[in-house]
Amino acid sequence: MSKPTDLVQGTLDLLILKTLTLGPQHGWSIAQLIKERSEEVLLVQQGSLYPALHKLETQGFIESEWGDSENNRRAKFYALTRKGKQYLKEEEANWERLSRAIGLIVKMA
Amino acid sequence: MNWIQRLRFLVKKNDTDVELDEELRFHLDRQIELNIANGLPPAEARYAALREFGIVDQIKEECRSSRGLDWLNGIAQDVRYALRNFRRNQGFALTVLAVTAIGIGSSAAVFSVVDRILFRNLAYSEPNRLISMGITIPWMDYDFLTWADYGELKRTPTQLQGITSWAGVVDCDLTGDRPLRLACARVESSFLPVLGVQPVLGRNFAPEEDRPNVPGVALITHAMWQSRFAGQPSVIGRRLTIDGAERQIIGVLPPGFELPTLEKADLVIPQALPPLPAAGGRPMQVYGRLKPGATTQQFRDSVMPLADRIFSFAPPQARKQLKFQVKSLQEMQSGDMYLAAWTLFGAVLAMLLIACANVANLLLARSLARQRELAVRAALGASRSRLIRQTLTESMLLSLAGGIAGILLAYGLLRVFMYIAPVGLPHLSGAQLDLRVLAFSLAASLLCGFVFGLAPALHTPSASTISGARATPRSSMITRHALVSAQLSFSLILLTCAGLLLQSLWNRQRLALGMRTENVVTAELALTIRYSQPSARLHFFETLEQRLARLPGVETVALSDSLPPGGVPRTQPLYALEGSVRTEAQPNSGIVVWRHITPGYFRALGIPILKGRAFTEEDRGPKQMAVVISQSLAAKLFPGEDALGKQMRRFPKGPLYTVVGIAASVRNGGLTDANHPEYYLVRRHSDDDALAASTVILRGQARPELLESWIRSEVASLDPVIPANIQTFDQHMGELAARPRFQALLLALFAAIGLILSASGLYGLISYLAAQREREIGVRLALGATPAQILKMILAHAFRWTAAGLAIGIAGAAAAAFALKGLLFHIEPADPVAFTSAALSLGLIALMASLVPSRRASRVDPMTTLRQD
Repeated sequence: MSKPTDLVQGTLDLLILKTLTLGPQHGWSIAQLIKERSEEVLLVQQGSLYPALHKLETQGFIESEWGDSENNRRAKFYALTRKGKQYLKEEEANWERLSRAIGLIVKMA
Repeated sequence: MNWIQRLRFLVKKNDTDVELDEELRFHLDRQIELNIANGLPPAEARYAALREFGIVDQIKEECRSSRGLDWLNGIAQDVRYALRNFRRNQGFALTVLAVTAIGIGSSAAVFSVVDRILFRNLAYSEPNRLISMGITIPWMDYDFLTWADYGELKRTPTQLQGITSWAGVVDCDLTGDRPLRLACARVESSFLPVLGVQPVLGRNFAPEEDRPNVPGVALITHAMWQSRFAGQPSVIGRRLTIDGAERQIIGVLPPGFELPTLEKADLVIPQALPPLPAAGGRPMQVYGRLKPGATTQQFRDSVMPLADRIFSFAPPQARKQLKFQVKSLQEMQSGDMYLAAWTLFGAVLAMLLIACANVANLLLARSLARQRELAVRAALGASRSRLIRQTLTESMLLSLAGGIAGILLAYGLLRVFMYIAPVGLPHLSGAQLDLRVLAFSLAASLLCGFVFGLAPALHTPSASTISGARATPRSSMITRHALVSAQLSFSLILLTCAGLLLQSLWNRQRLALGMRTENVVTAELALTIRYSQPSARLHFFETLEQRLARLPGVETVALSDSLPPGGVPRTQPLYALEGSVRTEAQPNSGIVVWRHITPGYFRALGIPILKGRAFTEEDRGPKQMAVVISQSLAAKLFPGEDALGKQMRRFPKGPLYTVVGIAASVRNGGLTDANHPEYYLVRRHSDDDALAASTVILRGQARPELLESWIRSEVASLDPVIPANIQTFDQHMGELAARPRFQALLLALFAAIGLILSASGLYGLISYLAAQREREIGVRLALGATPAQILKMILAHAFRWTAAGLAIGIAGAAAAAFALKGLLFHIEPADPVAFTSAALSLGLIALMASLVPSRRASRVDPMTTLRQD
């Protein structure tokens, strides 16, 4: 299994953090939300999702809590921290800049 | 997450693992539910979810590592795993442990010994600025300047910050309630300041106290302060009676104080020089401290004019033998031990390398045997770096354990060294395993672990090896062969050097002495201050001589001032002597030895009188002037004529002596080739010939122990406090060869261990190869090869690599042998016998080591091997 590149890794972090602005989610629903909202273009593998979640938690951008899920099972919910919101703002700005730059080049005659 | 949290995670690892399990299981279940909701049948829904999920363990592993506690966790896991592995393969682990312990233990022990000789600074402040200077002449065992020359040097501006002198160590007697023979160092008042030594208590003496006829003062050593004065501060101001004169204790030296010559001293007293003479004066040893930044060479250049002036006063015949020496204090102190210490150091490094190569090979063999296991682990998701770390952890763990065992071994070995080492080996008594030595062994063991851990780790297989069909990778076989060859070549170097040193030792001990030494017991006596009157000394020794001669079983009794072949005979330059043809003695003709003896000397030591007669009792009359000369001296002083009855002078314008006999030449330059002409004077019944120190020589048929006890009781009945060093002549000879024997013994020990290690390495390799090729051999045998052909095939293979090792070894041995030329005696460094015998014996042992497994391989039953697998 190859490791995700830094770009992909960073983008995944951004996707997770952005998804969590909708409120605390567990891993499965994060994956589902990303899939639905990207119109099934972005499929997040569990093998990437959970390591990324654990890393973000270690870095203090998100925090976790066990709670009851929609089907009344115990699940681990992740939520944005204050630090995470700050980080998300920076990452969004970065992403805007990057996608604008890529867009400019791609749209070039 | 901070450190505490990390640690908590580590401790609560099981909890987090359970949580992770639950989290992932929840995800899986939700996926299955979704799949079912999308209309898949339950079994298929489950399968699809699982397929999407991937390898659960791998995800867990990555989650763990993303938490950043992986490395800590991993090491603990590696260590646990390694320990379990060792338990399963006890034989392997113990072998590696033993080889590492031997390698590290002996190197740590030897390092403790040579460290102090080679690398440690002297016990003075900024010792690299200290130098020794003086005139070297062949018949003085230290460099010296005369009082007048020293005075002139002191007035000359040089690169020196300070200069000082001392007059050596003499015996002195502490009289009073507990009389004791002590050693007193007589030094100038600037001695301690120039060396940078501060008394721990009291003070150093002032220049005014360093004069004759002033109240005496003394500094005592720390050891003496502790033992005799129980370490009380009130010792300052106490009075000691030394050699009949009172001295006040004014200071205590620091605990580690040592004289630059490493001689033992209990007291440091002023040398009390008389007023500066116009020229000459007594000889003194001179040390200086260079100014910061000044070099020895600058100083040497600046004093050369002075040295030339000094030499211009010397008699022209003598000038050629004089040399003005300036050397660092360290160099002066280590003297001839320098080469021996380097040899020892080199030997132990060679052995460490052998041990390292041996262990590397063992680990390599093991990692090959474990290839399939490692391949399985790689397939289960262990990364390559993880596997390398695992292999490294195992080898580091082994070598660390070996290092600890080695330190224990070093401790024991050091004890053994001290026990068998000759007296007078500098620093050995103070050698101990200290922090630096421990650091050395630890570094050595870790380096070993890294080096021989890396070799197997580099062969960590990729997942493709899992099939196990492919046998050993070729590169690793070459590494293993090269390691065995390296062991063999280092063994050969050790073996050759040990052979050369043993042969030198044998040559030394077989040296024709020119005398018969069996049934001879000697006793060195030194009279105390009670015998300050010559008549008292004369009376003591003459009474002792008479009493001993009366004992039953004693054939001959003799007294001499020194003993051949070593001892410290009295010497003088040969050119001073006058025979019939004085001019024949060349200016650089060397020295002549002389001894003061009683008539029994020649019979006691079995020295033949070739012409004339030995001394008789009549020669001992106070006015008699008889001399016996050695054959070699006769040839020098009276060339081409009969020396008997001729007259000679001992120095120009001195009294004339009549040659009454010519004795056979006796070895008198120690166990070396230096053999000097010699003459003997008889100890007359005269106060002029009354010496304070003499050696009694006793030849008798009685058992040596009996003779020894007789001497002891006769001496004691005359004066119970006189110390006597009694031993047989053979023991005296043994002491002379003690250093070469110590060196040869240690090197032989290392050579033996190295030989065992490399032989076992070769044995292991050939056995392994044979086992690997068992099937191939079975096929060959089945196809009609004879066992003899198989044997030849395997032996030829072993021979190739042995020959390569021997060839490199011979080259290395030649280089090593030339480096230790200075330790050899009557044998050339390129001695063909030493080289051939070492190479042959190593080759023979290599043959044996490969013959046993080869024979076993050639006798395999083809049917059994072919049916396997």
